[in-house]
Amino acid sequence: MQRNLLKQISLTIILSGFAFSPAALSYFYQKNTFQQSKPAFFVKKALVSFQLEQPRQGLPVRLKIPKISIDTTLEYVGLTPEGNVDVPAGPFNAAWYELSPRPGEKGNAIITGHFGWKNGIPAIFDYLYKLRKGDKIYIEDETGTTTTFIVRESRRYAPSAGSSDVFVSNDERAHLNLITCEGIWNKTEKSYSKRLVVFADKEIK
Amino acid sequence: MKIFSKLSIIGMAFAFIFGLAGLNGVFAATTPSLGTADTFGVLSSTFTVVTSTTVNGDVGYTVAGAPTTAPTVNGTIYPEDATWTSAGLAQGTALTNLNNQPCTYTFPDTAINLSTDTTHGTVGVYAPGVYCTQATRAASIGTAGITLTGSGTFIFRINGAFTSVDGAVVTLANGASSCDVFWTPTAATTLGANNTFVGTVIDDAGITVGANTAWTGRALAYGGTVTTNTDTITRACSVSTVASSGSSRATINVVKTVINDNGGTKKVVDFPLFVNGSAVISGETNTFIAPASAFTITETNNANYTRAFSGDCDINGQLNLIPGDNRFCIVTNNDIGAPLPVLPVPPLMDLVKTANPLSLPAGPGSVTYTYTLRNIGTVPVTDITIVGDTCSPIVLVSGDTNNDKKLDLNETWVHTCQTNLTETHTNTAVATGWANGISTVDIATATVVVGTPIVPPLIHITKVPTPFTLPAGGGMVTYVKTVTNPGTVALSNVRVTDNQCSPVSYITGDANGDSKLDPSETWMYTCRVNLIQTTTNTAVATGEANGMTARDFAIASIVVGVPGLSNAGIESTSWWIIALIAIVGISFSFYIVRRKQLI
Repeated sequence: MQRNLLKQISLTIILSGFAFSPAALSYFYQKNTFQQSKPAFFVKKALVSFQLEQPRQGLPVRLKIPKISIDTTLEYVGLTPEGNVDVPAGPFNAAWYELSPRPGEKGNAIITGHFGWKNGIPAIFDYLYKLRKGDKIYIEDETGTTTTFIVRESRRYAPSAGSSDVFVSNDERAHLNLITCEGIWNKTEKSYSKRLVVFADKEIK
Repeated sequence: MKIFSKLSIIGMAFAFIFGLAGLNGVFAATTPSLGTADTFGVLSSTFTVVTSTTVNGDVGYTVAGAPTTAPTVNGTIYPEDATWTSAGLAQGTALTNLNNQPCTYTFPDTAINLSTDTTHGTVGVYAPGVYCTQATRAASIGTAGITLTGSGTFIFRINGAFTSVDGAVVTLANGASSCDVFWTPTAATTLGANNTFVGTVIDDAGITVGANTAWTGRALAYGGTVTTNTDTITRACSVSTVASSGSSRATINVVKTVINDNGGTKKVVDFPLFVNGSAVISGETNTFIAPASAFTITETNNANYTRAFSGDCDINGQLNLIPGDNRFCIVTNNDIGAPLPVLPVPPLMDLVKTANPLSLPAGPGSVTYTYTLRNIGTVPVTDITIVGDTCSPIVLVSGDTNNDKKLDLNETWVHTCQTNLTETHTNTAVATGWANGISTVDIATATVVVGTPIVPPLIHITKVPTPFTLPAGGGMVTYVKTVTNPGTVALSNVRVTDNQCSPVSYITGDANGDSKLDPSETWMYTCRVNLIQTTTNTAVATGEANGMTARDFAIASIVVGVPGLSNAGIESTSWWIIALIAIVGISFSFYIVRRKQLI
C-alpha cells in the first residue's frame, strides 16, 4: 500500500513537471528575449516626405514599455494585400508601420504587435491592455536617441471598423499609436473580436 | 595745451560748418512746371510720321515741318502758332529748371548702359534723383530695361546721345509717375522698336522713335525733329501700378477646400476664417495696410478635421505683405473618421479669366471680364459658386447645356462681368464646386492697367493628376501641368512649382524655342510623387512681361484610402496543452490499468 502511495506521488510530480515545464520554458524565453538587445534588421525604403521643413528623426530600432516589461527590437512592416497594417513575423518583436511617420516626427507613428501566439508562447502585446493614462513608452532610434511618449488613452475598435484617427491627427504634434488585438477568438475568421489601440503623445520637455 | 584746445575748438567749428554745408548739399529732385507745354504729346519743329502714329495729347510743329503722313491726334494740333511758340518757351524754361538741379549721382566717365550699370546702386533700379553722365557721355537702355521706383522726380541728364535697344522697357514701381520722369540728352534721342517707354524727353537735337513703341510721356523737341513710326505717345500721367492701387496696400484672399473622405459632412461655411483675428470669407479679397509682416490665417478648429496651409502661406498659415501684393492662402480641411466603403473620387475644375481690354491707356473705362469654367476631372461638379472682387454680378452666359446646374464632364461654362475701372487693378475670382463630399477650387487673376498703354501679362495653369484615388498605403501619382498664355504679350521667366511634388519637369511646348510662353503656345510639365495619405497640392505658375508678373494657381486633391487595423492576434490554444492533456490522459489510463492488474 505504501509502495502504491509512493508511485502515485511520483506520478503526480512527473505529470506536474510535464504540465509546468513548457510554461516555465516560455517564461524564461520571453524574459531573455525582451531584455536583450538584438541587432535589428532594417529594410530601409526611400519614402517621400512632404514635410521637408521638419528635421527627420532616426529610424526606430527599439520599443521599451517598462510597465509591462517590454524591451524589444522593431521590425518594419507595410500593408497586407487586404490593406491592413501588417504585423511582425514572430511573437517577440513589435513592428513599425513604415508608411507612418517615424516616432517623434509630426503625425501618428504606428507600431503593431501580436496578442497571443501559437503553442501558448506569450506575445509582445499580451499585456498592452494594462497601459493607463500617464504610462511611459520609449522609442530608441538608430542614432541612439530615445524619444518618450506618454499614454493618453486606449480605444477598442471592431476589426473592420478602421478609423483615420488612428493614422491621422490634426494638432501638428508627434504621436505614437500601438495596435494589437483583444477580445474573443473567432475560429472561422481567425481573428479576435476587437482591435485595441493605445494612443500616446510625445513628451513635451 | 591751451593752443591745442583752441585748435580743437576751431576744428570742431569748421567741421560743424562744413557738416551743415554737407547737409545742405543733399538735394531732392523736383518736377518743374511744363507750363503751356504740359498738354503736348509731341512738340517739334518738324514732325515726321513714317507710318501711322497715335498721339494722345496735343501736337505742335512748324508749317514746313508738318507730317506728310497724318498722325491720329487725340488732342489739338498747333501748327506754328502762338500756342506752339508759347509751348516752346515753356519747354526751354523747364529745361533750364532741370539743368539747374544738381546731380545726385554722376556716372563714371564712360558711356553708360542704364540697364547694367552697377555703380549707382541696384542694377537696373533707380530711385528718385538727378542722374548725370559725364561730358559727352551717352546713355542707353538695354534689353533688361530699367525700373524707376518710388514716389519722386527722376531726371536723367545725359551729356550726349540717348538710345534704347529694341524691346527695352522702362517700368514704374512703388508710386513712381510718368509725369515725374525727365530725360534731357544734349545729343539726339533714338528709341528702339517695341519699347515701353516712360517720361518727358526734352531734346532739340531730335527724337526718333522706333516702330511699335508705347510711350507714356512727351516728346518735346521744339527746335528739332520728332520722328515716329507706328507708335503711341500718351501725355497723360501714369502712376505705377502699386501706387494706383494704394502705395501702402496689399490684399489677402483666403481660399478654403474641404475633403470628406471619411464620413465627414462639413462644408466651407463650417470653418470660419480669420486674418489676424478679423473674420474673412473664403474667396473674397481683403485689403490690408502694407508693408507688414506676420499676418496669420486662422480658423475655428474642428477636432474631426485636419488642416493644412498652402499657396502663399507657410505651413503655419503665416505670410508677409509688401505694397501691391495679391496673396492667396489656401486652407485644406480633411475629415478624420471611419473610412468610406468606397473611396470617393474628388472633383477637379479649371477657371480661366480674361479681361477685355487688358489696358486702358487713355484712362478710366469699362472692362469686361470673362470667366471660363471647365470640368477637367472625372465626376460632375455641383453647387458651383464664383466669388469675384470689385465686379458683380458674375453672370452665367452659356455652358449648362442640359440645364441641370451641374458642370458635366463635357461642359464649359462661360460667365461674364462688366465693371468700370478708374485705376490699375488686379481682379481675382475663386470658383468652388463639390462632388462626392469633396470640394474643388480654382483661382484666377487678371490685371488691367489704367492710364498707360502697358499691356499686363496673363498666365494660366491646369493640373490633372493620375489617378484621383489610391488604395490604402498610397502609391505614385503623376501630375500633368499645362501652362498657357491667355493674354497678348509673350511671357518670359516662366516658372512652375508645386508644394507637394518636386521636381516639376518641363516636357514640351516652346514651339519657336525662344524661351518665351507665347499666346499660341501650350507648355507641358509633369511631376511624380508617392502619396501615402489624402493630399491637396497647389501648383503655381508665374511669368513676366512688361515689368509685371502674372501668377496662376492649380489645386488638386488625391484621395488615399486609410489602412485597416492590424489583425495581430493568434489563437493561444496550443498543441502542447493538447499534448499534455493527452499524455496525462494516457498516463492516467495506464495507471488505472496497472492498478487493476495489481489488484
